[in-house]
Amino acid sequence: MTRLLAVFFLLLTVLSPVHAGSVHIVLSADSDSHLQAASDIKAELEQQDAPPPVTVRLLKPFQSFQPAADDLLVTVGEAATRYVSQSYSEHSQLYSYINHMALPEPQAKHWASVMLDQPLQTLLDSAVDIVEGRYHNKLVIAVSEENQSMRLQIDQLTIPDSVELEVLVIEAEAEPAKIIDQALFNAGALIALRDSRIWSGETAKWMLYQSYKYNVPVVGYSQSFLKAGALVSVYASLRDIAHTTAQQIIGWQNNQGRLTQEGILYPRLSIDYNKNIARALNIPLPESMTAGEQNNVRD
Amino acid sequence: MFATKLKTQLLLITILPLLLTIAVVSLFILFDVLDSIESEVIKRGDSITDQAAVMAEFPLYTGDVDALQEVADLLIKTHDLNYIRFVDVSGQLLLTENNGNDKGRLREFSSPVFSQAPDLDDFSAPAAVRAPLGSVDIGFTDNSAEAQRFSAYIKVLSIALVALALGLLLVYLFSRRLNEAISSLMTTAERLEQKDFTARVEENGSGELRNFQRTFNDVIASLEQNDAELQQKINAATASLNESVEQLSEKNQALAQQRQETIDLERSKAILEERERIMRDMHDGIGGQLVASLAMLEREQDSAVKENIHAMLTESLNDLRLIIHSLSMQNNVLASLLADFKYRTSRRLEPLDIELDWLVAPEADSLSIKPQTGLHLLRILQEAFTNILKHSGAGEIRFRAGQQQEDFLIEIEDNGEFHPDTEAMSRGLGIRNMKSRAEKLGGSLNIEKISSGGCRLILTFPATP
Repeated sequence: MTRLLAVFFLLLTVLSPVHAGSVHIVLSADSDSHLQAASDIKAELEQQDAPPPVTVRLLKPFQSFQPAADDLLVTVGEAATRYVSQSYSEHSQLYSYINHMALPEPQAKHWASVMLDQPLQTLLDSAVDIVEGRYHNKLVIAVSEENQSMRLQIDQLTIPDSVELEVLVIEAEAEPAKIIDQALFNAGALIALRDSRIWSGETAKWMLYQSYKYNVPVVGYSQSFLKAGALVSVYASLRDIAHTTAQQIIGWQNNQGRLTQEGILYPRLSIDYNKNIARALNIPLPESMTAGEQNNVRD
Repeated sequence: MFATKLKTQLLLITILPLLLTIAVVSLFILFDVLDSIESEVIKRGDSITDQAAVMAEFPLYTGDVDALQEVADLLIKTHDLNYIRFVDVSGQLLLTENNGNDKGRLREFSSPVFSQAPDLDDFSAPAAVRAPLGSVDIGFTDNSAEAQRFSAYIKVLSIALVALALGLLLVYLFSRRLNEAISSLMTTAERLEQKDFTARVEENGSGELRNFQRTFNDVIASLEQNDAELQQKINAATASLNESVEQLSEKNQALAQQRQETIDLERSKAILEERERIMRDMHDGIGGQLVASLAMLEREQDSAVKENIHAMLTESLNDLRLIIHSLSMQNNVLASLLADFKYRTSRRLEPLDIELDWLVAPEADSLSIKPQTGLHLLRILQEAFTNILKHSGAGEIRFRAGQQQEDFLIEIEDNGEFHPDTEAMSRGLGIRNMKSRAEKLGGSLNIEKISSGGCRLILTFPATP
């Protein structure tokens, strides 16, 4: 399937006429998720009466390509974003499917980024909904020492008085699972934020294990967290990211080659929960989460 | 082969597939149940090892033996394990726990323990890496599985027995009518084999078998009819043959009789010819000499001697004539014999002026007599007439001859004087000889005095020749 889609897009690239005002989607990799993202974006655009001309390229062939000055460069994933932001400062750029840690310092005059993550405040609000009114109302956030962007977001959080927030800064040599062990003793929830030093690989596994061991629910930032053992996930679905990206492209087309919104953009919010974890931890979920799927989606 | 009887073959045809099916199905069920039990045991072992691997993942990762001890105690208590053993990635034995129960068949399972990082990124998931942490070994006895196996044996056996019983019942019910119909056919066939054509098959079958029974009965009826016709023909032929045999026998008998008669005739002819020759010789020889002697004597002078000799020669000549007469071929019938005797006697009576009243019944015409019989009869009659002429002085003699029942009776009466002197009669030879001859004839002789003073002589002898 992957190969077929790649061949399809390459043929599309060769056969499509290239002219000023086109949209170039640049894929960081030829993985299923990248190809599916491009396919979703194109599908959204094709629903328009006069969709803009779109080409899709992998990063490597794109590097030998010279886009027109009025073209819009749409990147999918971290590598393409990094390359495009550094190489085409005169072009309008739209980054998608990227998180805060991977977002480079933009060089372009006009840029926008559709994020994979939701704002940390959103995760905090969901965690507050869970622990509010409970005996253990302490919220725990673990962040690596070098993750300055996240630490900055943490500093900017608005914390209600009904809860307590404990931020654990993990040093480079420290073992996160052991550090967090002491904090989870009387915690009400553990908020996971995108920090590859902590929430990846084996470390993430034992972080989840420790929290489960102490009956502390985890609030994750992706849908995959639910499968890994989190109680609640606050995230943007891939289809919503594609939709937001397509809307920005359409806005660019309709706005004579200028982005209608610039800077960091968050797609529609999705909140899912794991009923089995809730039952295992004996945690009653707030009605706002369990009322229905539509209620778990916030614009 | 070993089943020669139709009923046995039918029974085998119906029951053998049933038994085979039940055996195959029972074995299939049994093997399926045993496989299921074995798979359950394996599944249980795999499940426990998986659970142990999950529970021991973190302790193995951190080398926390106390935590492993807790896991081991919990699993032994929960799953009644015989032992559980944890080995780290370097092969070092970290913990072994036994519960001391080693009864029953020990089943052992082992599972490697890996640590796999969770996938937390929806978009760009890193490749999953499985890092080995060690292994967990468990052992438990499958007593419950053995009990399940035993229970399975019992259940399958029970099911097989119930199926067999039901099958036999159904076979019995469905084959009974067929069996009865075939038995009826066989019984009738056996009677038919013994030539009993009155046997008929009871039409108790159904469908084609009933049609077959009817056809069989029709065939038997046809056979019976053919047999009756054949028997009738045989009887007719036998009767005809018997009649022919009887006719042949009669003809043979007649032929034999004719042959015997021819032989008798030839013999009689020879006897008659010999008798005629003797008669001619006696007549021509002795008679001639007696007549010549009398003629010569006539020429002699009268004397007492001459008279005596003349009387003796005359008596001898008469006696010779009587013998010849009795031997004559013409006198083999009683009537002829009596007629000839009358002729001779009349010549003697006429000079003496004695009247003879002679009556012979017609039965004498057909009564044949032998020469010896005739001679005895003539001597008796001659003696009787001689006595009348010599002693009675009668002037009339009455002679009657006729058949009376089985005997022939001759009655002679005279009107003379009869003096029955018993002493004289007993001394005389004449009457004694007459009675003796009568006895030789198989008859009897009675002499009695009649009321007129004369004598009556009654001679009876059998009328058969």
